[in-house]
Formats: sequence, structure tokens, C-alpha cells
Amino acid sequence: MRKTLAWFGVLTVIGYLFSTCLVQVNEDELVLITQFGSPVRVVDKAGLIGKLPDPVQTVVRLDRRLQAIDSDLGEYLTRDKKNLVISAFILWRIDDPLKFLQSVKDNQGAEQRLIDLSGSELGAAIGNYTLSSFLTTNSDETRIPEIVNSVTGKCRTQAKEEFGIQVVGIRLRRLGFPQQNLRAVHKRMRAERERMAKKYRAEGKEAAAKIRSQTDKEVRELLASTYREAQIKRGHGEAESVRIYAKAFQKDPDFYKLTRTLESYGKFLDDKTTLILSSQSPLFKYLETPPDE
Amino acid sequence: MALDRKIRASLLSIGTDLVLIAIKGGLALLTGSLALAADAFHSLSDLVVSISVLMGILLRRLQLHRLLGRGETGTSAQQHAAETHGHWIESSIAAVVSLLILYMPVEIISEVRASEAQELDYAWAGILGTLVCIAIIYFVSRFKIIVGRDTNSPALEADGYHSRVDMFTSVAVLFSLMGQIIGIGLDPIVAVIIAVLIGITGVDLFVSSIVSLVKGTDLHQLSIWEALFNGLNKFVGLVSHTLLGRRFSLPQGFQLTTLLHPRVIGFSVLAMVSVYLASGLTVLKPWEYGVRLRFGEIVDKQLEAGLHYHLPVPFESIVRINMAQVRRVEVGFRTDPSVSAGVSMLLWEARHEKAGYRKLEQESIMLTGDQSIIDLSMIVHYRPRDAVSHWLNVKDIGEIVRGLTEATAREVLSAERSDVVHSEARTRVMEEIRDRLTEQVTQLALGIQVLAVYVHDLHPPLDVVPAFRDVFSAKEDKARLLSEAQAYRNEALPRASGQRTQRLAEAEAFAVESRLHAEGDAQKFEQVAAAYAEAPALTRYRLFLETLESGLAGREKIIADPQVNQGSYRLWLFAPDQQPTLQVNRQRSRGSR
Repeated sequence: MRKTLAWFGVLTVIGYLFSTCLVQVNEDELVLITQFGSPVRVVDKAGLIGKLPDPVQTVVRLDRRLQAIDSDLGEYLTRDKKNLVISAFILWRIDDPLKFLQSVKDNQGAEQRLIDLSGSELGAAIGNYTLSSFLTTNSDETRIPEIVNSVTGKCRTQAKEEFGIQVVGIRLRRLGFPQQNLRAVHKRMRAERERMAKKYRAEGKEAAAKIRSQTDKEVRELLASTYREAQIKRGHGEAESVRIYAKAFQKDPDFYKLTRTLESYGKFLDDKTTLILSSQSPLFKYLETPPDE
Repeated sequence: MALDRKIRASLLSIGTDLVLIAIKGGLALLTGSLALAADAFHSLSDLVVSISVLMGILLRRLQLHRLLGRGETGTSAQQHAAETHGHWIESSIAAVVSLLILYMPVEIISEVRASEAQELDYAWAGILGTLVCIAIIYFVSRFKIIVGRDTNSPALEADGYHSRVDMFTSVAVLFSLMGQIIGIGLDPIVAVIIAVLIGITGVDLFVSSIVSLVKGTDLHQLSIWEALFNGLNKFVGLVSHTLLGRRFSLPQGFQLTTLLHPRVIGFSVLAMVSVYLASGLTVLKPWEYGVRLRFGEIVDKQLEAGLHYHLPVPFESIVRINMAQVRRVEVGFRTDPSVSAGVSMLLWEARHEKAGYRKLEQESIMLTGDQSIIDLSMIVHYRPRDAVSHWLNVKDIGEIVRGLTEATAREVLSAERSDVVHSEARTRVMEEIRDRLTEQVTQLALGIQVLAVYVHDLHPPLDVVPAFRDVFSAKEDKARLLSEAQAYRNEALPRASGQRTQRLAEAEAFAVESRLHAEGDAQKFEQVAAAYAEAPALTRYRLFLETLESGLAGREKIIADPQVNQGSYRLWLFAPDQQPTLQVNRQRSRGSR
């Protein structure tokens, strides 16, 4: 029985040593081995490593992968005193585990420091630029990459020196106007649109009027020229007929005069004509004095 | 007394089956394994059989008691008759139950046919649970066999062997689950095998109940299949015993010796070691890459598809990375993958509220270069390009892609005018976002390939939408005014041209008419003049008179004689329809006519 117990004890100890002396380091980890709290070794290569058992040496595992945090939205003033609401997107990874542990202790601490750091650097950088460096319709004038690069550069140096963190990149994730300004912006956008709408409608009316008046003008021109041509044609016809009549009548002007006069009589002696005739007229020669045979 | 033991054994079976159904059913729900579900059905069929057996026993006892109670001095013949009657009831129940059991394989097979190959969840939990089941079945069957032997009850012993046969189905389930971990889909096959076994049990029961009914004998469940499994069971036990059993010298007088036979321990150890070693088998699908890790260190970066072996768990492992799968990141909104079957494009003024859809205005409201605001939601598609860097270098790739996309979109938009973003520059802007994103992804060595950045939703802020719509209407109005004017022109010009043609033709006709009339008149005149010249005086007089006739006929005429009124005509003037102003004069004039 005692022997069994002894075996059991030995097995337990061996099991414990196995579990604590052999440490598996994964590819995505940085391992720091501390001896009674003071760091003795940094392992940045994956694999199996040996160390002294647990109360003597302990393992601190840190994530070596690329991580991302968002800073809170912050309001900054540009050089021309415009307010911008900006939040940064920070990509970082642990660079120096020892410094990291000593200065920020864990990820949460690191994130807080990075947010503070990027916030102050952003504030300083933004104050040097006008709003048109951020928002411009000319892509050559935008200064965002420049601003971002300078902020990244400054943060990178400081984070590396102070926190053992490698800042891989900082981007402006949010970039906007304060909430109070939004209504004004909307108003302005609406006004712009209204202006455009009015412009389109006015343009439409103008062009339509142009077309109509042009049309009217053309129509009148056409009709006028038509009138001219028609009159010329009529004139030709009439002149010819006059000539023909004249030529014919010249042959016997007396007869023409006679017939034409008689014709005229026939025409103007109508129902309403009342004639007062003199009985002396040759017409009544036989009326009063019968012809004597 | 024999009946009491039977009842006890039945109750034990029922209890065991209930526990097994609970475990297997629960595991089947957890893992989604069809084999486990089939095995749960198997236990259910056992439960139904056990309950029917128990009911048969109880009914027979009841009848027996009634007979004995009434007759008090029942003859052995009466007792025999009662028992035969009891057999009849028991067999009938068995026949009905067998039909019930025969339905189960149908259900399982239809389930298998309906389901598609799918990954099982919590396969390890399934394996552990199945091991527990196997252990329970094993101990219960051992218990039944031993008690049956001790009490000299062959029926109970046979029941024990039957339970042991059940164990094989659970072992089959175990294999199926292990195969799942390796990457071999045995699940439906095992489910079908179990269904067939259940079917055999049902047929078995049905046949024996019919036999019992016809012959009027006791119900015996014996079949070739059971005998076969018994033989297999004994064979496996024997082999493991001879291989390993001797090495394990358990202390004599161990309490559970009768339950834990050395050959069983040997068999178990053999099984466990093989399971442990077999856990290193991994099948990589055609679209997967494997990364082999030894103590967390990468030793093989890109294992191709196929069967691979790695040392079991503490030493090595293989991580599968799905390289083909296109992943998707939503910017400006989130969908719940379980709810949204498809996210369609949205109307501008829609408030974007739908089940499983969440709009994130913070992400989607963006500024453009002309200090306007637009609302842009995007979907990014990407795919892992480099297995190792994608998996190892980045903590949360989706979140990083989202942040970069958002930042890039804002950067690009901050140099664009809002109205062109809505219209002609839309494609260009999205392409630029994609290109810049690709550039950054490469620069940061994220190990992914950005396939596309799609616009999910792009519109002005909701407050401004009506104004935007009005601009569109204004454009339409302009076009309408123009086309109306054009229509007026198109109508007026041809009409004028028609008028022109008509008027010219009229003039032409007039000219021709005048000429022809003149010619006609002239010729007529010439002919008449020629005739006139032949006798001018007479003709002239005739013409004169004719004219007078036609001109003066019917007209009111006053013929005055200068001698009568001495040349004064003043009194004669009156309107034709008026009464003469001087009656006398008129009468006189009439009289003078």
C-alpha cells in the first residue's frame, strides 16, 4: 500500500514538472519568462522551450499579431477655426514585450495609451492645416495622407520608445462635422439642390421659348415669301389677260365700246333701278308719234 | 418467482434505454449527426420492445391471478390454458410493436436522403457521450448476463447478449464521429447501417411473434443475426485478451473482477490507443490548405489537399485554412447571417429597418470634398492569399479590413464632389477605393486579396433626399419643356409649308384662269366684231334694243314728257316702295302714261 502511494507521489511530481517546465510557444505569441517577477528571457520563436518550474519562473504570453483599435471621436479645430470630428483607426502590434509589460502592462493599457497619444498628435497636426486640406474638390490639394503620415511617424517613434509598441499605421476612420453643424450642412445642401432645380427649370423654359419664337419667325417668313411669289404669279396672269383683251379690242374699238356699254347697262339696271325717261328720247320716237308709213 | 425476476430485468432494460435515448438524442441535437439520431432511434426501438415485453408479462400475471383467485384450486390444465392465452396477448403486442419498429428505419433513411453533407459541431462531445453510452451498455449487458447465469435464467442472459449487440451500433457511431474529425463523412452510411439493424430487429420480432401466435408457444427472440453478433463479440474479446489481457495482472480478489474482465480491459486499452493515434489523421478538402504545427511551431506551411497524418494532439496539429471561401465585410451596416437570406439594394428614402439588418450611420455618413454629406455603405469581398500570414499576423482580419475600407472611402470621398459621386463618378470612386485598399493590404502584409468593393447603398442624407429628387424632376421638366417646344416646331413648320404650296397653286391657277378667260373673251369678241362689221347699223340697233329689253323689262319706269312738267323733275323723286308725296302729281303722271 505504501509502495503504491510512493509511486503515486512520484508520478504526480513528474506530471507537474512536465506540465510546468515545458512551455509551448505558438506562432502568434511572444513569451516572456519572468523569474520571481523579474523578466529573464523573451522568446519570439515558436516551438517547445524549457524553463524552471512554476513558482520560480513564470510565463507571460503576449499576442504578437496585428491588432486594431478605434480611438473615440474627438473634436478638433483646424487652422481656419472650423470644427472637425475625427476618430483614428490605429493598427499596432507588440514590438518589445519587456517594455510593453513594464509600461502598459496589458492590451487594455496599451490601447488607452495609444488612443491618448494619437489624440494629442492628431490635435496638433490638424491645427496646422485648413479645412480645405481635408475637404477639397481638387484631389491635388488634399493633405490627408500627409497629415496621417506625420501623425503616424510621431506616434510610431513615441510608442516604440515608451511602450514597446510598433504603430503600423494610423488612418482617419471617422471624419465629419459636429452634430450641431450637420443641420446647417443639410440646409446648405438642400439650398444647392433647389438652386440647381430652379436653374434646370429656367433653362428649360428659356430653350423652349427660343424654339417657339424661332419657329414662329420661320413660319411667318415662309408665308410672306409665299405671298410674294403668289402675287407675282397672279400679276403675270393678269397682265397677260389685259394684253390679250387689249389686242382683241383694238381691232374694233367702237364695237367694243358699244357692246361693253350695253353689257354694263344690263349689269347695272337691276331690280332697284327706277328710270325716269324722257318721252323725247329717241327710244320713244314711235311711242308718241307712230311711224307713218 | 421467475416472473418477478423477469419484471425486474425488464425494468432495468427500460431504465437503461431511457438513459441512452436521453444521452444519444441530446448528442444528436448538439452535433447534428444522423448516425447518433439513428442510434437514438435504435434505443427507442429497444425501449418499445422492453415495454411490450413488460406489458405482456403483467397481463399474463393478471390473468393468472384472476384464474387462480377464482378457481382457488386451479388444475394444471387451467393454468396452462391461462398461460397459452397470455402468450397470445404477448405475441400480438409484439407483432404490433414490430410494425412500429419497422417504421423507424424508413424514417431514418428518408432523413438521410433529405439531408446534405454537413460539418458536425462538437464532434468531441459526441465521441465522449458515445463512449459513456458504450460503457453503460457494456456494464448493463454484463450485469444481465451475470445475473442471468447466477439465477439460472437463460432469457435474461440472452437479453444481456442482445444488449451487447446494441453496443456495436454505438461503436459504429463512434467511428463515424471520429471520421468526422479526420474529415471523412461516414455519418450517413453509419445511420443507414443502424437503420438496417433496427429493421432486422423489427423483422425478427415480427417473425417470432407470428411464429409464437401460430404455434402457441412462448415468444423467443432468436435469430441468425444475433448469433452472428454474439460470435463477433466473443471473437474480438478473445483476440484482445490474448494480445494484451495477460500483461495486465490485476490484484486477485478485486471486487469488480467479474465485471472488469482482463480481456475487456485489454480491449479497451487497445481501442483507446488506436483512437488516440487515429486522431492524427486529417483529410484536407480541395479548397483547404493545411498548416502543420509541432509544439506550436510551423513545420509545414502549405499542406495540399488529401489525407495527412500528424502526431496526436500535444505534439502536432494541423490547422485547416479555407482558401477558396470568399469572405465578406460589411461597412456602414450589419446583417445577421442567420436572418437575412439576401440583402437587396434599398430605396433612398427607406428608413432601412428590416429584421436582421442594422444600419450604422456613424460608419456610413461621410463627407465629400464640397463639404456635403453622403451616406455610403459598402461590402468588401476578400479571400485569404497567404495561409500563414493571414492566419498568424492578424488578430481580427475582418475588423481591420472594415476599418481600412472606411478610412480609405473617406479619404477618397474627401476629394470628390458629391453630385458626381452619385452619378458619373460612382464606378471610378469605388475602383479607387478598392485600389487604395489593395495597396494598403499589401503594404501591411495582411495575407489577403481584396476581390471587390461593392456599393451596398449610396444616397444623400435622408433630410436632403427630397431636394435631390426635385433636381431630378427639374431635369425632367426641362426635357419636357424642350420636347414640347420641339413638338410645336415640328407641327408649325410643315403646316406653313403646306399653306405655301396651297397658296402658290391658287395663284398659279388664277393666272392660268385669267389668261384663258381673256383668250376666250378675245376670240368671242373678234368673231362677234367680224359679224358686226358685216351690218354695223342694224346690229347696233338690235343690240341696243335687246339690251333695253332685258334691262328695262320689269323695272319701275317713269316716262316724263318735258312738255308736261316743263323740265321739273323734283316732284317725281320718291323711294320706290313709298307712297308718292303728292298724290295728285302721281295720279296725273299715271294718267299721262
